[in-house]
Amino acid sequence: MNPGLRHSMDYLHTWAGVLFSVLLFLVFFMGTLSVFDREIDRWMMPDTRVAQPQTVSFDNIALPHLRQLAPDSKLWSVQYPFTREPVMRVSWTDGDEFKTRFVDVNTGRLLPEAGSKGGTGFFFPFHYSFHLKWKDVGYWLLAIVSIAMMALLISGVIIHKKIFADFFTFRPGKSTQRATLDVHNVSSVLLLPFHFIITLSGLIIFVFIYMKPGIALMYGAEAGKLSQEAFSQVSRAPAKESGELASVDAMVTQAKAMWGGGGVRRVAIRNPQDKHATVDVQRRPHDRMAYETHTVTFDGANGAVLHRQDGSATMTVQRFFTGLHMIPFDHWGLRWMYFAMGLVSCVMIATGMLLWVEKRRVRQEKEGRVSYRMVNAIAVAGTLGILVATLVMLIANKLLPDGMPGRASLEQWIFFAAWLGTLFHPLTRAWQARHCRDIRIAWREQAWASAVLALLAVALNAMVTGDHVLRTLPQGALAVAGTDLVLLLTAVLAAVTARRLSKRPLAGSHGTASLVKAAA
Amino acid sequence: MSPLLIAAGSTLAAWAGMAVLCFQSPSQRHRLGLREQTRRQQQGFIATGSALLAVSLASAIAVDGVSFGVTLWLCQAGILGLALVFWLPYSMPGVVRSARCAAAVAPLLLAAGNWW
Repeated sequence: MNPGLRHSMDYLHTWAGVLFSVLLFLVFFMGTLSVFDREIDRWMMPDTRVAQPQTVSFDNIALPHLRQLAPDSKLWSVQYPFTREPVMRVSWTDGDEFKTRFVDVNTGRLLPEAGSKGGTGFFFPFHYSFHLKWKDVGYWLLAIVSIAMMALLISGVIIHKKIFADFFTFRPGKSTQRATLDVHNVSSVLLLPFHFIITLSGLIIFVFIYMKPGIALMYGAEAGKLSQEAFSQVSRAPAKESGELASVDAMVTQAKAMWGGGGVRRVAIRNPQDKHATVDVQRRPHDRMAYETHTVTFDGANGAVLHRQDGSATMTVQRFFTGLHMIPFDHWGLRWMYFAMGLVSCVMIATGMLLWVEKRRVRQEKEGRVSYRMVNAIAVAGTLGILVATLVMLIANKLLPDGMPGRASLEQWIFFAAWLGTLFHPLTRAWQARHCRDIRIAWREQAWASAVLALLAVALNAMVTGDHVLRTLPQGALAVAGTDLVLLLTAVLAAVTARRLSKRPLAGSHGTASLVKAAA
Repeated sequence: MSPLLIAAGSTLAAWAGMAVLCFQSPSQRHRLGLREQTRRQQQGFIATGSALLAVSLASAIAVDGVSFGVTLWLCQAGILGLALVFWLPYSMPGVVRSARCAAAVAPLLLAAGNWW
């Protein structure tokens, strides 16, 4: 291969990596958590830990609550319970806001305000929008990060001279830098299909956002028409006369018959109090890879079928990639694989950052430069710091009083404050490191903090809700038990990492004592 | 047909296949202190490893269909490969024994799964 090309790719890989790795880690970490977002919801919203309902009725359960909660709303949306979420999610628009409450279908009881955004409301949107809603900045930032990831993957393959020879290479006994490089290479190469597909599909999911300028050019002011055409949706203007809804349960039964089986994902009612109300019944894609919801639209007033959705060939491709990315199907084996691979991706990104620091440490120490310490501090906050902030948020979720106004937002702000703290901490350590050159102090301390916080989160969950592993496991409450077990595993791994960081000598370091002496 | 037995057979075949491919690598053999292979032996290892992985893929497709099967197999092969690579430096005999065992048990599970 042309050495000039390899050199250029090496340059691109190094600097794109340094610039984007924190954001990439954030996206992959939040994405990994989102694989089990509903389970995290159960952990963070104890009121929703109810039994799986046998039958679901829209007319008897959802409708009375929606009539009471949102009589004037233009859109009602009801997500039906399923294996991973035993409660009914009842939502409606209130002006520009979209509000949601949970209903226990077994009793028909409206559950109290959750007081938490949970996995679906905090971690999942963080994964794809960074919670930056203004002018879709978050989505565009994600696009840039995704393109950077593609460039990193391709340049990584090009610069790896012995990609096949090193396919199975891991040398933990060699120097820290060598072992880190091996972990970085092995985790990248063996999961290359996953890294590539997950990044590409992430871009494809938001194609309508990224093509907005083109859409505006084609459709002008009627940009909404595109999604109607693409998703083959029906829209009907309100008659502005009041009307009564026919039985939605009957429409659901009819839709199921049309699909030839399968459950309901969501029922959405537009202009519910109007004579021209429409009812969209979506199928849950539990049995296929593609995120195809096969919506049937009914006339709300008389239950007549207005439209049956058939996606275009282009949209079928888009829905396939969406499904591949978002795992809407029931396949626990694949779900756990995605979780494990997401964690490996995080390790790949973190080791990339460590390599940058480690490669420059000895040289910069000799030259008296400090930029590697800044990058090291950012790397600590951008990797372990995110874990620490997440655990602090989980602890806050158990300590903040129920029913407190703005509780959900406060949880979110606690996350960001903790994250800021995890940046401040390694920066102080970097300042102190002028005298003690062991740059691993901040890593070690945050690893210990993660271990303690993870244990504390499990203990608090047991104390506050009474649901501990010994109780939830026999009861089959696997969402709560699984989250607790993953937290316990996190604590063990964090403690092992912290101990290893304490034991292993720093390669090329002159030793603290001699440095202090030299400084004096 | 028992999907569970076939899925287990697929996993074991993938583990054995990854191990065989790992042990054909000259640099890996050198690191592990194993004797050098002749070209013919190396080709035999590559063919065996590939055949085991092909059997694993075919079984995954048989259980889960094409889309799920291929996706699951890719994920499974990647994760098992990682587990193998990270285990190998700490216990080569353990990896060898587990791979031999997997290669012996996988066909039995696949046969039992088809017959059941």
